[in-house]
Amino acid sequence: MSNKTDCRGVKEMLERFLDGELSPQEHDRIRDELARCEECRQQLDRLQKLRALIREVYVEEVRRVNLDAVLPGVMERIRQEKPGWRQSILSWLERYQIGLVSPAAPLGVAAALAAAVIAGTLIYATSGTPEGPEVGKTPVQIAADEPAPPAEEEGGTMLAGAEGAADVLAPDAAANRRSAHEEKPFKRNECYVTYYQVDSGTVIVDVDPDGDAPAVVWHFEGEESPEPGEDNRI
Amino acid sequence: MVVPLEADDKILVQRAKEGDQAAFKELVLRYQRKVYMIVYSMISNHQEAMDKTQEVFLRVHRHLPSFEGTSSFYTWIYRIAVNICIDHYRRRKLLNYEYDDSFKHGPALQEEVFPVVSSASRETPTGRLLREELAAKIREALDKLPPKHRQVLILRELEGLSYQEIADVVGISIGTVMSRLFHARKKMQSRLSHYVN
Repeated sequence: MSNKTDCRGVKEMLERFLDGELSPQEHDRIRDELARCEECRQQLDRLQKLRALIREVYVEEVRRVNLDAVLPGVMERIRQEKPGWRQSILSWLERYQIGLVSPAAPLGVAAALAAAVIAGTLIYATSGTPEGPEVGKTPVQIAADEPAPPAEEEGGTMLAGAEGAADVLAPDAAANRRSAHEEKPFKRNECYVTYYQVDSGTVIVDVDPDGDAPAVVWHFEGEESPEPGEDNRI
Repeated sequence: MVVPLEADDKILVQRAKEGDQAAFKELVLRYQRKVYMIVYSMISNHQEAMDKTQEVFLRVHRHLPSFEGTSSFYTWIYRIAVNICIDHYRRRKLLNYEYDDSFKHGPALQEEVFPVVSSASRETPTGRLLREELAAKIREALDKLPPKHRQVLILRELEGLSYQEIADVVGISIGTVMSRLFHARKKMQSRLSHYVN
C-alpha cells in the first residue's frame, strides 16, 4: 500500500481517471498507484458500480419506453404553433414577392441591436422620417410598382410607419393601418430589412431608407427569448 | 464518450434549416431517446418527460434557422433540453408544485400510458421485482440531489459527455463541472452504500 499522502492524491484524481480526463502521464501514474493501493482500488470500484447502476436503471428503463408518439406530437405542435417573428416577416416578404437577394450581412450583433434601438426610438419618439441607418441592412427586392401591403401577421402586431411619422396602431385599428399604407404605398425596387431588438420584440423593415417611404415596424409579444449564442438575424 | 455521427448531423441540420421536413424528422428520430433520457432522468415523470421531449424538438425547430453550427448539434440540443428542465424546476418551485409521490415513481412504464416493448415481459417476476426495487432506490437517490448536481451527473454518466462538453451545455466552467460531479457522486455513494460497497 502506498503512503497516505499519495493515497489522498490518487483519490482526488480517481474520478478524472474514471472519466478519461487525465493526461496520459497522469493516467499512467494513477494506474501504477492503483496497482499498489487496495483502498484506492475499492474507491474506484465504488465509482464504477455507481455508474453501472445509474446506467442500468435509466438506460434500461428508457430503452423500454415507446417513443412512437414523439415525432407526431412534435409535428402537430409545430403545425399548431403560431408563427414567430421570424416566420411572420419571412412569410410577409414571401407573400408579396419580396425576396432576400443576399444573405444577411455578417455584422456585429451589438451594432445591429443599437441600430434597431435607435431606429425604433426615432420612429416612436419623433416625427422625423424613419430612415434606418446604413449599417446593418440587407437589401431585398420588392416587386416594382406593387404597393406594399399592410403587414398584418398572426405572429405580432404591426406598429406601422408612415411618412414623417410612425403611428402606433392598436391591433384592431385595421382602418388606420390601411390608410397609412394607401397614402404612401411602397413602390421602390428595393427595400432594406434592418435588424431588430429582440428583447423588446421590435422588428423594423425599412422599405426605403434613402427616401421618404415609411418603415414598417412590428412589435411581437410573448416571443420566447432566443437560445444563448444564437444569431438573431432574420 | 459520445460519438455522434457529426458529419451526418451537419448534413441533416443544413437540410432541415433549408426547410426539409424529412431531415428534421430524421433528427428527431435520431435524438429522441437521448433527449428523453436526459429529461426523464431530471424530472422523473414519464408523462412530463414525453411532453418536455416534444418541447425540446419544438424549440429546436423554432431556433434551427439561427443555429450556426459553432457547437455540435448534439451539445446544442442537450443545452436546450437542460434549459427546459431548469425552466421546469423553476416553474415547479414558483407554483410550489408538489408531486404526487404515487405518480412520480408509480406509473413508470404502465403499459396503458407508455406501452413497452416485449423484452420486459420476458423477465422473471422475481427479477423484475428486484430490478424495480433497485431502480426505485436509484431514482430516489438521484431525485434528492440538487438539480445542478443531478444534471452534471446525468450528462456524464448517462450521456458520457466530456467535462468540456458538460461545461458548454450547462454554461459553467470545467472546474465547476468537476466540483459538482464530485459532490453528486459522493452523495450518491452515501445514499446507495448498500449497493456500491
